[in-house]
Amino acid sequence: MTRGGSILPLALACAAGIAATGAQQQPVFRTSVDGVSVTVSVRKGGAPVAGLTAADFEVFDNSVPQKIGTFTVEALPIDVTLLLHVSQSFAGYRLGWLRSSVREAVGLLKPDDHLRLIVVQHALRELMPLQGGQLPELETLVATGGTALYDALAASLMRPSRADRRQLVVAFTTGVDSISILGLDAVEAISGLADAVVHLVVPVSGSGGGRKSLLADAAPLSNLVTRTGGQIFPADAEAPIGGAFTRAIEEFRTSYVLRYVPQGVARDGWHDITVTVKGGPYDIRARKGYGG
Amino acid sequence: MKLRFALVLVALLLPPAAAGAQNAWVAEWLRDYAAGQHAEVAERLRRVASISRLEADLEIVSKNWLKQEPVDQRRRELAAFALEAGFAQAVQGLAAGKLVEWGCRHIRRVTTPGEFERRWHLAAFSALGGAIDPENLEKHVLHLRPHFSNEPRLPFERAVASELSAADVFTKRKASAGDVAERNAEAAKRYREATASSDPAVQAESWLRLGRVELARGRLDEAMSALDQAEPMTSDPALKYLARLFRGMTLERLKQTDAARQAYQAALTLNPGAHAATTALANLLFRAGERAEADKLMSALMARAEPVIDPWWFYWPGDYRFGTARIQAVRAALR
Repeated sequence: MTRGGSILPLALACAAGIAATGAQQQPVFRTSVDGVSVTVSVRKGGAPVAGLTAADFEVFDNSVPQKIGTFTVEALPIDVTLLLHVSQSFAGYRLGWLRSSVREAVGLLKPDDHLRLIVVQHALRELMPLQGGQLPELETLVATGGTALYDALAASLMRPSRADRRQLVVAFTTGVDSISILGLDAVEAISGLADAVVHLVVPVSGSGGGRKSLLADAAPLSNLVTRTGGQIFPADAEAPIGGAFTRAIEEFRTSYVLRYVPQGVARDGWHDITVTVKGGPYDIRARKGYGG
Repeated sequence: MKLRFALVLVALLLPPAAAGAQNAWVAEWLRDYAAGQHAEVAERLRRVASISRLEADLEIVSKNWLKQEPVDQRRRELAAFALEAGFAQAVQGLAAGKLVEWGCRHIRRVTTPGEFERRWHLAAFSALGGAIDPENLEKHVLHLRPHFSNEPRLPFERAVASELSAADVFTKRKASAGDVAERNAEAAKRYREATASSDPAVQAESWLRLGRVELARGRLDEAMSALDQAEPMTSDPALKYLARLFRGMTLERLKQTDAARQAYQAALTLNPGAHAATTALANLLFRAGERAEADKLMSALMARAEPVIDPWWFYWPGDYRFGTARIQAVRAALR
């Protein structure tokens, strides 16, 4: 990236955009009555493992075994927030890649799913509030200015979540932040208080060292992503990102949602969550903990 | 090895590149600029695709340009042209900084530096700030010092160079934590020196930036003390806003949540809807359990079709915010 260029204000240039339209869902906040919600993905050999029951799972909160209160499988619609990194560093082919990716992403959603689009530059702009239906016109997106990526992740995680829907945040980004006021530590703290799973889709090209170098930009975010139970997906910039995103959505859809009310642990502070599944070995993905 | 030697030999035997069709556009623009078409040429420079090509062509064109008398005036025109290009193309980062320094080489050869040169150097600080080029910013202070040692902004600009070189958004892959700590310590030292400036505007900005650097160093009491000095010394709403924003961040680190909230709210009274203060306040509220209020703030922020200009966006580019006025001053002195 061009160092200076990515953070220059270009404040007037960022005005181009699309006004947000549509009505917001009534928020339902997670409360202590709801307890802790953990989305768990179980895979074997890359394929989702279906047919598990609550009795197959064990949940530990700060190493203390917990009683699973409610258990749901593939029953909940999802709310997807897409963060679109369209700063100066996305000018050119990456912007085209981004536009086609968003269109493909929308095609993967089911009628009950909802989608929100947030444009990430030095300012954040909700291009589309959480809703189903038509995408706004994406051709008017202009890549300019800096990248408040950490602020955007924090903003997405701060939005209210409904107890009857799963929350997914997918950031299409290089992972480079240039102008956020919040540090990564603040975003990690917020993620511990939120229900959402965060995935990153990082455009890469070529192979070998160059590819690793591009992914290295996103490496500082790996802890945040892992803590929420998410992943970083490299995606070839020349090819549609449909494959990477489809994997993210599929994995989320084929997840189990466990809820428990913490017992035998202090309320305050960070809580490590460990989830095990009997009859493994399985590849288990779940958030690593939450803030009390 | 033989091939390399042969290539060097061929290069030495070739006549120096002359102004020709390939670089005629630069020669024409330079003539227009020298004839007083400053704004028009600046607009053309803003649209240049390759700043490296511009620099290479300007180097060729400059040889004939400097054959005309009076040479000092020709040097000023060349330097001003390069500065305009560097400022217009600051978005190109280090390449823009390199072009400004190309102009600086010419301005330093002017035999009797005067008001034009002083204005040129100040405008160069703006272009180098916009390019986020701490290395050339540091060098530039040294270039200016022999002839303008009393310029009040010199110590301040050196401090900005140190601060930029320590900023983790630019150095996270290039500098170790130890290096960053050392550069921040140097920046703090330099800002402290700059607070003794004879210029009240420099004093106020030095205290403000010292406060942010001390916050980054985790020296929270020192940060509060510096920020307390900054706000009363300035009437610039942008600096006042930043002082309140940084106070909020420092108070948050000091676990003084209510005071931090008030500081962010005070920043927002100066600049309602500004991104940084709104996001910082929403973060504080969310973590304090006031989620509905945090959501209200962020929803309103992101629903704006056009964002409120936030002085925070202009923080890292240093003097870039003065650039337009300084370039105008250079143009006026060139006439």
